[in-house]
Amino acid sequence: MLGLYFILALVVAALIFLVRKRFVAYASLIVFLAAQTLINIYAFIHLGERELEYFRFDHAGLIFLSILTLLSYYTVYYSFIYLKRNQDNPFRTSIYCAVLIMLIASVTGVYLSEHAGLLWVFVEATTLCVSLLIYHERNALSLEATWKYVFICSIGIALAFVGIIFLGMAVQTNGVYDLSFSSISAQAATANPFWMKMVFLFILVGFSTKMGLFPLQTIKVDALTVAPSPVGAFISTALMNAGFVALYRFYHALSAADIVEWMNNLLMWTGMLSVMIAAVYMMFAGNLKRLGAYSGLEHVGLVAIGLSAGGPVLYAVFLHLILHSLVKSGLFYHLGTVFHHFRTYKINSIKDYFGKAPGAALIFLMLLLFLGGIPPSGIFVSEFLIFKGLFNAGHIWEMALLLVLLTFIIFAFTRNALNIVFSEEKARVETYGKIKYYELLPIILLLIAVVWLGYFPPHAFSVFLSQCIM
Amino acid sequence: METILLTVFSFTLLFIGIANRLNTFIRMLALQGVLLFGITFLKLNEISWFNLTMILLETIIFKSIAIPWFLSYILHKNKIVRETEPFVSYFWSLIIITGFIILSYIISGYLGLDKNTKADFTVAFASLLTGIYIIITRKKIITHMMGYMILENGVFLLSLTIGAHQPMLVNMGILLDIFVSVLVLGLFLNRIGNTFEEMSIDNLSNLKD
Amino acid sequence: MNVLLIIIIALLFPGLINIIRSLLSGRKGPGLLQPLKDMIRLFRKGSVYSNTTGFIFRIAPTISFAAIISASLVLPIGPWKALISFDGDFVFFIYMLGLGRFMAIVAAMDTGSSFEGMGASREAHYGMLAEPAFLILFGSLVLFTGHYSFADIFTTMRNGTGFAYGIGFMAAFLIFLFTLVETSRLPVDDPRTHLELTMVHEVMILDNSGFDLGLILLSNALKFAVFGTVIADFFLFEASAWVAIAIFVGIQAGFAVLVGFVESFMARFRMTHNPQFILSLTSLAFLIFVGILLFLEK
Repeated sequence: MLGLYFILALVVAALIFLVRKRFVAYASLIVFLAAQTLINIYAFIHLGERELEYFRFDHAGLIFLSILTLLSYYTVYYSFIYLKRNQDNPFRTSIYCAVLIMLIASVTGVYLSEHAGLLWVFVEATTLCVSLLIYHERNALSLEATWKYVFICSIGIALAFVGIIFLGMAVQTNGVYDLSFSSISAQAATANPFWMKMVFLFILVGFSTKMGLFPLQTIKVDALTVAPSPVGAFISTALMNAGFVALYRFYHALSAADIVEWMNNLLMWTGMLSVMIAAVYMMFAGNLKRLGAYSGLEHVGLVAIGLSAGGPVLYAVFLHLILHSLVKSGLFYHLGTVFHHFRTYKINSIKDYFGKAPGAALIFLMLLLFLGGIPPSGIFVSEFLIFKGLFNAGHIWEMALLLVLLTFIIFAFTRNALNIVFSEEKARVETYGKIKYYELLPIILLLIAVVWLGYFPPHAFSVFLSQCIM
Repeated sequence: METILLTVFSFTLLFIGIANRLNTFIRMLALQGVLLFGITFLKLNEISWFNLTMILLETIIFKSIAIPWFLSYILHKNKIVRETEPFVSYFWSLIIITGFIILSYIISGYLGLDKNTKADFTVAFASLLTGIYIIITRKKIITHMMGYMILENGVFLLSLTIGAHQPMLVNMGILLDIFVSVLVLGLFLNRIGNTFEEMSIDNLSNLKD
Repeated sequence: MNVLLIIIIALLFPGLINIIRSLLSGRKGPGLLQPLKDMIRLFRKGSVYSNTTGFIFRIAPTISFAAIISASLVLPIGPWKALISFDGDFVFFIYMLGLGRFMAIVAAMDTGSSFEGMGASREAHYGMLAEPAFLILFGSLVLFTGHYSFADIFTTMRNGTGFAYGIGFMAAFLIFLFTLVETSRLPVDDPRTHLELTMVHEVMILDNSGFDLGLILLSNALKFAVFGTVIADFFLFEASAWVAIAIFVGIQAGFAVLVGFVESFMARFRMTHNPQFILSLTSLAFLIFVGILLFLEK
């Protein structure tokens, strides 16, 4: 079934690419969405099993897969709106749609993959797809961002590959040549600890390009600045989750070796540095998309810190990722609307949003405040749980520093939000397109979902989430 | 025999550190491809001949012929000036690359490898570090690509150490090589050459706060 | 016997290099004994000392000549043992050569001319970059063979495995380049020009004349012969006296021919490239060191 899914994705993408008509593209996208939903349901039915020997439907992968399906619906919907408004030629539209399908399929592969090498191949595939999507607008700025993205991602991928080779070398000494995660866990206890440390170091640096974590985070920020809004939403959520899942699988497999403390130290350092960089840059951000990108950097830093605290905090980490996906994607979808209305992303050029379009302005305000972690946002709950975990684990100083940094971040958010939404007009600000109700309603659904999952999570959801921690 | 090839490989690394002209760089890359071909042939005798032939063909055609040819084509087409432009003078580059080789040797001591693997690991890891160093310290975009190729050669050499038992990994490494080269060199360097006048990273600094 | 061989070679060596150079430029060239005749002519003349020089200037050429001769005392050649041999004599060797260089530098600075001071500083710089190469190379050979003196090192290397011969080749190559640096030949320094921009060694001896100049020329020639001996020692094996002499002369001649070829076909490096080139010798020596370390981890 999974094989059929991948073949279908390839066929549909090729079809869109070869037949360059808009109607075919849109119809194929809807067909693919149906297939995505079907594979999601199939995965839930076969929970915990192995498929095709290299894939496994386990809890962590599944929860992210569901989020991915939801996000793909939204992305396709908003892509329709975006493509219709931009009136590109059919060739570009068909490339956009075809590559979007491949991207969703690759991210699915990353979530479900059980073999280390196959995981790596799928991550590499996402690099290729994302770079083609970033380059959609084809101006000098996007060329620069795409070049940087491709090049540095390639370096990251090569480093991650070095990590996998080290892993292969380490487990080879026991005479076992299987690189699936379950066998790695079994072998890790007897392997040389220095090897394992090197493996984790290289994997962390390599996958930090995907996650947007400290060593190589700049490309994600640049990519989000130039990508079309629906693609930006997808990159900053689903792709970040993919990077996290990849890292988490390695973390979990290697924690059988005696290096958990070293890994946690490393994660704590990178997380703190990410949040610090995010706090500094967010105070001076001039572009709405960069503001969103740096907020992503901050959240992934929080996730890394939570992962390093270990234990019951992992529940909060997963919850945080899910809620962050919902809110962040909502923000980026809405940024497309903002652009349509104001024709610019610069914060200084957008004023009196509330006067022009009250409903949209309120949604925008809610999005930014929810991202900052202000109640009733569910992110407040997950951040609170992470801090509680840090306190229990004894990292008092880190917690204090984090709280200070988060204050700066919330300040940056609210200042920008209030400036945009409520300020008086200094000069006459032009508005261009009219905002329709159908672009706002789905985001309201996302916001409601965030509050609901944060404060009144259904029991099944909580149980499922706690089983992700394995 | 293998030791000699590895030693010449490290000579090329040192030579690249002090190379002034871009053509020298390209020739060193081609030489590295040939050396890797030899090393592959000597190491992977145990896997099936079909796999071996595939890997050998990929190595020699890709690393020694296609990539250098393509790089010179781009040099020619974009009329790139001959000199590499480093941020760090060649003198210090030489010292630092020598330091990398010694550092790799020290690291290989901690890993508890057997004798043959140790030599491979030293040279491969030194190549990795040299590739990253070249990417960091040069201004032209084309030298970034060449530094990446050196990085790739190091990764390939690393993958050969377990290639005898897992040829899949070696193939994946080559796949990475081909993918990056085709995608990056083929598509983007041409676009950048068309869009920007001069292919140095001074032109690529517009995205900032 | 060793010293005799070395002196004979030294007297004939520079002549051979000049002949090769001339032949490759299409000229007939001076005779093989021309440098010898130059030296004899200079020895017969008196020296002229300028007023600004002190006693160092007068004694320096003699000391450097003595240093070279004593350095050659520790070298074995084939079946003949060295005159003096002790543990660590390769350090003695390089330090004697360093003493010679030091006296030359100090004498040049003693003249009070800024021109010669410039040459002295360059010579010091190149010497600083080049000496680690020799020491690291021989240090790794000590590591490899386990013996501490020239005689024992060469004996062990000659009887060793294929790897030993490979190391011998690389070491010989390194010593060849090292000679080019030490004796200030192309591509590091051009002995024929007298342009300020490009002089290193020639400029230091501008003020010497007569007997001193003759001594300096002889010292330079001896340096060649001494390094040629080191290279030859990597390849000589225990044989009867005449065969050994023949091989020794052959290797020295080949060495001279090679130097002549290099001089004819390479231009001098740009001044800023010289430090790189010389440093690369040290890097190569490090490589050999790491290679031997790897080989020894059995």
